[in-house]
Amino acid sequence: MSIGQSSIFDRPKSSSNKIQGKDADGASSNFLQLLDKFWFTPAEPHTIALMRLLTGFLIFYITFCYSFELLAFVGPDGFINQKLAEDFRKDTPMFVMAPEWTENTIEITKTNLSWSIFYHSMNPYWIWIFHIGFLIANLFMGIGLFSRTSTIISWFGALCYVHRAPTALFGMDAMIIILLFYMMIAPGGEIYSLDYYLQKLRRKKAGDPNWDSQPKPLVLTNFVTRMIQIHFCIIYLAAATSKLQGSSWWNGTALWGVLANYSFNPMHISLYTSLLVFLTKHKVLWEIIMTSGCIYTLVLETSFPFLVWNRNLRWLYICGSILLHTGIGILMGLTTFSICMITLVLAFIPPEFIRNLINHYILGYPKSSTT
Amino acid sequence: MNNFRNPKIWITTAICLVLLALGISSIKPDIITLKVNLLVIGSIIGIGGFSLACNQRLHENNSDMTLGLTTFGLSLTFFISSLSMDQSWDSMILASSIFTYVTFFLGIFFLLPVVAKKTAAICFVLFHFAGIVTAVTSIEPPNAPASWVATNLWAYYFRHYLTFTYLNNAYHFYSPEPGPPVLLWSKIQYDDGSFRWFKIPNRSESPIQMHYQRMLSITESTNVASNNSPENWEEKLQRRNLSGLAHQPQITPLNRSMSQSYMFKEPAEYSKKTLAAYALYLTKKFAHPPEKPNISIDNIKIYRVTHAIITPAEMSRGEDALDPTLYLPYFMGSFDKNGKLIDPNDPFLYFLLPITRSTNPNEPTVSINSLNIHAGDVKIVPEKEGGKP
Repeated sequence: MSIGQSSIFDRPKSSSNKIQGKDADGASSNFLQLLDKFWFTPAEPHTIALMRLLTGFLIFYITFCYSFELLAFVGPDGFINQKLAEDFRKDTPMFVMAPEWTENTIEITKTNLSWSIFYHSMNPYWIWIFHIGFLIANLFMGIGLFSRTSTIISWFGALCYVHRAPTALFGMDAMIIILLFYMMIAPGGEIYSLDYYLQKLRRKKAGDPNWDSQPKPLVLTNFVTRMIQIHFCIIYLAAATSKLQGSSWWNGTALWGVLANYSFNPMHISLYTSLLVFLTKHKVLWEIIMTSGCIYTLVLETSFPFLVWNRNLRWLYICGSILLHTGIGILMGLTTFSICMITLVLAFIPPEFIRNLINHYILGYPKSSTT
Repeated sequence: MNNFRNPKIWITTAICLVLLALGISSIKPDIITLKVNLLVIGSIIGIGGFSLACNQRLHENNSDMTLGLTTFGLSLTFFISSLSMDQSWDSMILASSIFTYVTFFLGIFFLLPVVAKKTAAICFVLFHFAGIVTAVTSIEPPNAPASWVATNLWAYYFRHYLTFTYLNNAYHFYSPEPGPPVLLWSKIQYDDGSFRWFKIPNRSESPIQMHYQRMLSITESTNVASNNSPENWEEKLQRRNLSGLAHQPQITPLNRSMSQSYMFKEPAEYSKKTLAAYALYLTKKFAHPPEKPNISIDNIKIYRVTHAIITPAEMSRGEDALDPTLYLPYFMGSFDKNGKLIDPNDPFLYFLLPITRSTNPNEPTVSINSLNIHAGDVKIVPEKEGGKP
């Protein structure tokens, strides 16, 4: 494919053999062509659609969980009261190091671009109205009804909570915002959505002979998938390099700090504690398991950004990442965070695989209908 | 195409609704409910029209012109919305203004020729990831300043974008070391002498795991340490120890061989503010003791408790992760009913109140709980009333 042949919104104009193979003229070494191929090759929407579905239900659950103490999180008399919220927003000095050989810092601003509808809605009635509205949008995003509209509103809503309740946030919030940001750009409702089934019904009613066809590959799908992939690699690289600054990750004891943290881990479950006690009573085994866990985490996070692009190693890294986050979810109680990470890593799974998996094994379609 | 599937109709409706809101705002500014409804519904319809145009561009090969014009319409909707809002809604005016610019440039983007469109998309990608990389690298590594280039790039060029979209994360999970969790224990003292303890996080009181995790984050937000060394450290420590010895019962003095950072944990200004806000929240949540509406709060003592992680050696000896000596409470102050720190010169302020085992070999399991003593839960019973001599 040469540059300028198609818009990033266009479907491929010819057969999809260009998606995977080299161009016929063998000029794939050309940097611009590689760049074009990497970012602007049309891709099927199955992976992105599955990610939209998972993100929609995740954000619904996350928003729903605010309901138990909504006013404590975003109300004017909550953990961060209105006055302090204003103070954080408008009167928090920010300093940078001066461009001189001194220790001096320069104050560049006192304000930041935090925004939220909950900074201004003081009345509990309105807070609940907005909350319920966001929940409806999240649900619509999950089921894929008015997919793009509901995704944009879900992103808007999620940011309203995170900006208003900055002290109640943890890693999961960062991950769900990343997902929502990309889903807002992506054509996530192309399949596995009510939009898709309603469109099929409309086409059938209109007598379209191709009413049951699968959605076509889109450049935009690939563009967003690439962005998610790169972002995920940056997350892993940042997590790995920052861990390498800590001595406990080098001497293999960091995993104990993660596994024996009473506030995070299920140490109130006797089986889990018994397992830890068993390990501590067998020092050699303890050392081997703790060191192996640290090495596994470091090797995976450090090498993932570089080796996941290799087709032969891709599945190894995807499975390794899913295993890591499943472990975090089960052992550390960070279930939603782990599902967010697993949803992000889905971006590396080829859409054809998702299509076959869902069509054959979940929807039970015969193989011929999906190819 | 029926009207319902025509994005221009949607956008026109959206513009009309926000114009109506603008009109109401100019003529009758006090009709807030109607105005807010019009703005919200107008914006949703505008986004709906834009989404419809995107969808049609993808599926029905509509022209870029239709999509571009719809996007300009959405930009106009946001622009009018920003004008319609009361000045007190400043953050939403800001958001609306930014949405105006974003959709305006998006409209131009849709009208560009393909090569320019691809170039613009790549430029956006470069800007986006450069920002994320500066967010990652502008964090100070242990015992060293952060990169000058990264912090300056972040502060001057990317901070606004990353803050606005909340993509400003360094992704330093469990690093450089996995640390112990922090808990907040508060004693709410009422006028009539009754009191109650409120501790977060608490698994049994959190209705759902996510709520529990959020409570953990709240406690963590009070744990940002001050960069400044305490002034007159020796005098401060002496005052704390002498006050402890003068206290009845005595509060365990701190040994000078301990490190300063272990004995004294003054929070940064940010954490001091969140602690005061938390105290104020408690005054509202527990304004009165149960079934005594006439009694009000006298003061709230807050303790930030570091729950040290049990070592494998301790666990192998059969010790419990909930052993009281693993809790390291630091007194964060006594707050009045307005959430104000009562005594900034309290000798125990920000100092450790250790929970230790008794040194008496005959009572190996008895611990000396300076926290309970300080909070007033342990009182000396005079000998004539049956107390120990």
